[in-house]
Amino acid sequence: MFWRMVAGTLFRQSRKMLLIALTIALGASLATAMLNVMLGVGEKVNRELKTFGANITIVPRDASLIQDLYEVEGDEALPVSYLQESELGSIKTIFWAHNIVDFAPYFTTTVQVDGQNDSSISLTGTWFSQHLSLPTGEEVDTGMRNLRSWWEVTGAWADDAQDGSAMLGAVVAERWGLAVGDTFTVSGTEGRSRELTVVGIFSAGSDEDERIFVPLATAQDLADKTGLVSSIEVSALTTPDNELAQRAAQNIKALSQQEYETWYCTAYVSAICYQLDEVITDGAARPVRQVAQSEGAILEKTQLLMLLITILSLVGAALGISNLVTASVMERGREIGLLKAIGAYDGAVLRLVLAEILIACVLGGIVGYFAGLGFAQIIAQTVFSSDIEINSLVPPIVAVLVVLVTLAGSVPSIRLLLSLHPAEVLHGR
Amino acid sequence: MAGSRHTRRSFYLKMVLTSLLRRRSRMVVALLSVMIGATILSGLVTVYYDIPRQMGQEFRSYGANLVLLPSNGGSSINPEDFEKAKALLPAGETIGITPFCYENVLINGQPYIAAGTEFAQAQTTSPYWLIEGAWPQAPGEILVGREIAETILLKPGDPLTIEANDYQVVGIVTSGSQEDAFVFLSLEDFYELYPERLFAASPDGETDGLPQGETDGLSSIVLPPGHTSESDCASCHTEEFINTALSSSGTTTTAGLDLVECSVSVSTDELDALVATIAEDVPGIAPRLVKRVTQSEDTVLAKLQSLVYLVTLVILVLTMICVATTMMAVVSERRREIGLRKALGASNLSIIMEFMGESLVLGVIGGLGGVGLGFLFAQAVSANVFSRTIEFQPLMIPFTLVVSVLVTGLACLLPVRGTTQIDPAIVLKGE
Repeated sequence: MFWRMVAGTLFRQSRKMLLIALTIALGASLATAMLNVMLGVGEKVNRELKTFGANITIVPRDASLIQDLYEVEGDEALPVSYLQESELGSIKTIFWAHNIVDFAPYFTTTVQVDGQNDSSISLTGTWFSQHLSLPTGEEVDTGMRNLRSWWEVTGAWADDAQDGSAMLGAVVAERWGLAVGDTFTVSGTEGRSRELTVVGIFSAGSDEDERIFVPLATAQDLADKTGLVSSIEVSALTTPDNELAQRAAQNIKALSQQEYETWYCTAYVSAICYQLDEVITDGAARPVRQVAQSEGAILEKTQLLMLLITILSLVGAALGISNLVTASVMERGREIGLLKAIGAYDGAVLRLVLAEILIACVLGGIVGYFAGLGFAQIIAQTVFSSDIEINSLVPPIVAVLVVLVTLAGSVPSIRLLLSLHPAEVLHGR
Repeated sequence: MAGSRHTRRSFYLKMVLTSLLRRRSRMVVALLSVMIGATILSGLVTVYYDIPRQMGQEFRSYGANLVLLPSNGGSSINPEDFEKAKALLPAGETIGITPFCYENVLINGQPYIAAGTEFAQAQTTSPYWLIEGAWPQAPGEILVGREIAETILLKPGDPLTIEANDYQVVGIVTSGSQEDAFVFLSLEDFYELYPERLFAASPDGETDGLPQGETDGLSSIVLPPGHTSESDCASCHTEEFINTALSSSGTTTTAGLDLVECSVSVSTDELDALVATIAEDVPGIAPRLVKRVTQSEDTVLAKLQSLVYLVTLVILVLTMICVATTMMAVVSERRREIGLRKALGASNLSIIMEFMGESLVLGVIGGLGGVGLGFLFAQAVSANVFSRTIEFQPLMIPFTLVVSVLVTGLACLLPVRGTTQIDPAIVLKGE
């Protein structure tokens, strides 16, 4: 009898039930879409922020940054230390290897350009876009190209395999009157000289415009330093620093064993630096604060913004659903009065109405969940051109939310109707 | 005739108002749903319009996006040009303007770079510097790069002697880039240390100095006319500031500033325009965009904006449909009433007009409430996320009102039209 009545309502009042299910589907899809976007946005934005370039640099421990300044002056008096090129692959073997988006080695030396006045210039060897096969069997493509998304390149990016190809900074190219396709000769230490071909001219908007970039092997050969690099830039996905990360950055030894493990197993920039130090002999990895710090700030702001928008939309969806459910229950006053008049118990009426609404709610919720996934993917595809991860936390949250909201919308109004005399209700009050 | 029109109008008003008042519980439901819709609409649209500005300011944590360098032929920026360029930057949007001077310096026999700057400004253009200790306040207080501090074991509070002058280290700078090997002094201390860097003649050789008092920030360091020195530009690469600093370390250059970092919170197009204006109006200065910051900011900001845009769009569409379904539910409940009125001889038009009147009242009241609540939401977002207040946009009132009246109107129209087209007898019978 109970189920026959429920089925009767569902079929005979299909329009009303459809409206309820539709509203619940709308609310559920809104909640699903927003929760998925909110939970996934951090990772997406983090990846976008990689366009600002490397957030970690590794330099030889004792030479560090002073060396750069020396080479500009052309003073080779200090003993210069280097990192080993052979260790580069191990960057992708650290605990947070998956968070390492790109890395590139640099070998910087000063060369003389033949046939030019004021010919001393800084020449940097690097990997533009190198393919690596790691001992772990992993294949990695990495290089400077992705770390310099802001370069405006005329011509083409240099090819690592092509020894002797060079990219020229716009300022140097203009000063020397060189264009793409031209050749020029540079001489490095002990009379080693090479002919280089300009394959691309870049405008970087910084002091890099006064440099020459060549494949790593070419630069090492010019300086007679095979297998050595002077610095490494690493671009890693990181978690914004918190109090623990700050304490760790000051003194790792001050952490307790448990804190140390939490810190080591979280993608803080300091933890990644520490792990890089472990694999690169005599290397000192440091966060580039301009990038690392700002990244954290923007990431946090974006997530907070999305959180607040999500809360607003959840509240809106919740109120919308419970509002409609209330309206539809009130509308059924006569029916409830009639049931009571012919002797139905309050509990039976409550169960009947609830069952009907909850069926509509479940159907609407399921449709809404999948529609919401669709919306989330549309947003992710349009904005970030990649799929958003479907978070398994979302279905239970949405289910609980929808059921609670439906109950909150229906139970008080049913109780209100039950508390009235059937005669009053039937009479239309 | 006039009297009958008057009666008809007052009857119409009475119908609309009593319908709203008598059916209180239903109307509360309808009003609530309109208000939710209007709140979300006005709140999100306000946030959406404010995001570019607010986010743009957040991106200023990446530091300077415009640098001023001496133009070709000059070895440094003279104070007069600096003031001119400063005046060209939009005052309201400029976060900071930090001048820098560089010199080679020997500390404990090790070569480092000494930089003269304005600390109050440096805090704004380099917000990412980590300062262990404090920013210098008084003359004689300096900041030391992490690298130097580690090499010669300095901590905040230690004294440091640079070329026979005594200073007190108040803070250690960590930036992870070249600043770690710099010593930062105030401009006054810097010029005291390197009196030869004082500006005395403009690079093209004019010997008359600036009239006293014409430049406010730097007038204290302008020497009286007569103090001249040779400009030596043949061998300096003006584009690279370190080179400039190093090659001008001799005593022969006239000097002012080597580099000015500016952090301006405007769009890239406006920045381009700004660069063009400065280059044209101040020939002594070559303005350059910091492409790493400006280009990347463009990319990321565009993504974030389209994210907020799409999210807003999805929420708005879903919410509006939700409002519409609630209105439809409330209206279809009144099928009997419509049938009765038709049976009593009311025309379809008059019934539709009455429902439109009701939705107008609902839309306006709900919309007004929504504008207020939406502004509160936008204010809360702005305060929590960006720690700023936002201004109330008066345009939001008509916009929200029009949209909420339209949505309620349309949502009513559909079921009412459907009902009016059916024979009243069938409607009244409840079929």
